[in-house]
Amino acid sequence: MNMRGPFLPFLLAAALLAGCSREQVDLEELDDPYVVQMPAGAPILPVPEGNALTVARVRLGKALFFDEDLSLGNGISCASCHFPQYAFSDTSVLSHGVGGATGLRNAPTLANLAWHQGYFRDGGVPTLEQQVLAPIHNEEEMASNINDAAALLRDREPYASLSRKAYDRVLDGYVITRAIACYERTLVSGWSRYDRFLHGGDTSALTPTERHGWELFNSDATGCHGCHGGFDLSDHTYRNIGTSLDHTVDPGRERITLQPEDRGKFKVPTLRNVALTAPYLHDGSMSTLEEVVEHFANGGVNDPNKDPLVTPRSLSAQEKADLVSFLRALTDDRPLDQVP
Amino acid sequence: MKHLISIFVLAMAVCMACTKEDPTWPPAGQVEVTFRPLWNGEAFNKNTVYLSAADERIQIQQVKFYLSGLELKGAGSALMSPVELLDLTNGPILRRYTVPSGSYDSLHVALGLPPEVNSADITNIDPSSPLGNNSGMYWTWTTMYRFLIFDGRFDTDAAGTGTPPFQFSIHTGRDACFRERTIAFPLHVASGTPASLSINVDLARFFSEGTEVLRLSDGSQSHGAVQELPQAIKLSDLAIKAISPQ
Repeated sequence: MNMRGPFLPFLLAAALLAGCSREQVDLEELDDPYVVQMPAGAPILPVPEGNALTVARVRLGKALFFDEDLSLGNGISCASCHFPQYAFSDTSVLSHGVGGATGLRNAPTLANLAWHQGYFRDGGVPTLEQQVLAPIHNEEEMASNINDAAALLRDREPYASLSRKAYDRVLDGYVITRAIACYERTLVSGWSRYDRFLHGGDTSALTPTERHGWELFNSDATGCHGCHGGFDLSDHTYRNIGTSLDHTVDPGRERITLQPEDRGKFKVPTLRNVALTAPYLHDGSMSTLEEVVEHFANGGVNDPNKDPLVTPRSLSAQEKADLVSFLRALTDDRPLDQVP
Repeated sequence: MKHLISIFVLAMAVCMACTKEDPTWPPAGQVEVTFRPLWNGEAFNKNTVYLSAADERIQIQQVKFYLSGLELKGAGSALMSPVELLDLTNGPILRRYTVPSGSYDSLHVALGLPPEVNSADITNIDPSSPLGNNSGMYWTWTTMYRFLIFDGRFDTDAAGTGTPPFQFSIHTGRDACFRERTIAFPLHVASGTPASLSINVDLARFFSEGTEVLRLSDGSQSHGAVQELPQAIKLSDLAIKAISPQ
């Protein structure tokens, strides 16, 4: 018996209904809170009042993050300097913007930004939402204007629908800054072998060399843990580590506070995924972890603002190598970006 | 921001309340304010090359700034405007404000924005408002506003001719550059005919006042950097004194 004849309309109707129902579910999902999977040992993810994470906001933020039209078609997106495969950092010494313009600093990783108290390496911007504005407007980065970018993108999909869904308004500066901040808050790092060793009860997760490096890291012999402690392996304070006596080009934290004692101070960076985030320091002046460890072992130059923890240390070549091995164990086992 | 908005709303509420209780007192009056750029008392022209007190040839190409807390003071105070963004490059600008009628004896004015406004999140502000993103006055790297954009060309050779060869660009900002002043100035505002007030900005005085002199050869660029701040502070000190009612 040929069943297709009489059943075909029923099947078609069923397929249509299934289609509708799936679309409905998708729309409902967009309103759902976006749940960030948190690694063991992570503090509660701080989210500001008024910009809770939802699926729509995070998806919108991700689409904007990778869109070169934020620079008005000039070929620069956030991801042009924050490469996902390098823990959202830049491989260039100093980041490049529109027309090859050279920026002031090396672009840092975006991992665990949610826990920062101030943004940029000098902490000049108080919120992640406000931070979004700066690279869009900076002539050495996107050289754009957020209102012009919004006007260019607002009628396009998925922006038009996602913006309505996420913030109940058309895409504008308010939406762009908040949505990108939402996406960036999802970039949580804490999935390395070190984390499995520390929180997962997996004592074999670190090799003996790495484990020795970790012990050194936490010892007074190196003092590393004095600034690079806690979940993010950074206390997010601002410190001068004695890399140079000339701060003419970049006075660091002093640019914000205008206090001479802040000259040459920069935010202590996270060490998470540090093996992926070369070159190092605010000016990208060190290209390997070995160089960085050597710098701290030597104690840097005698800058009057230099942090007292940065002082010459007696470390053998093996100890320095073990420290580097430990730092390499801080690489996440999965990509930072988990947003579908 | 909240503070200024509160003052503004309160002022509006007081005016409305007075009107409701007694519509005849104090009746609203109007003040027509002309913001007038001058050079040594004469009308300023952006195409003219002037000689500053430091014997430098100056051609001003942009003079754009925030005036805030524009207020008449007397027995009562009347806030005319919490903030105005004025670009006087191309000549005078006229504004009309409604205030309670009465006699006032001084004018309060501030160059720049008070700290609570300066630290506002610009993405929450209507882009087309004076404090909005379209103003072109915001320093995104430190989330603060520029208070004064003062751009042009200069020449250290007082006897030089033609377009001055060097560019200057001094932008003040940051709380350290906020300046305010109350200037004695009697003004009677009646209901009916608007009172006229001219707020002169004498750009020659941006370069000198008494013994204080702004010499562009000492620093022709200031964009918020630490080492450039002394010129911005000097300009702020001079510029607030260059503002006078007439």
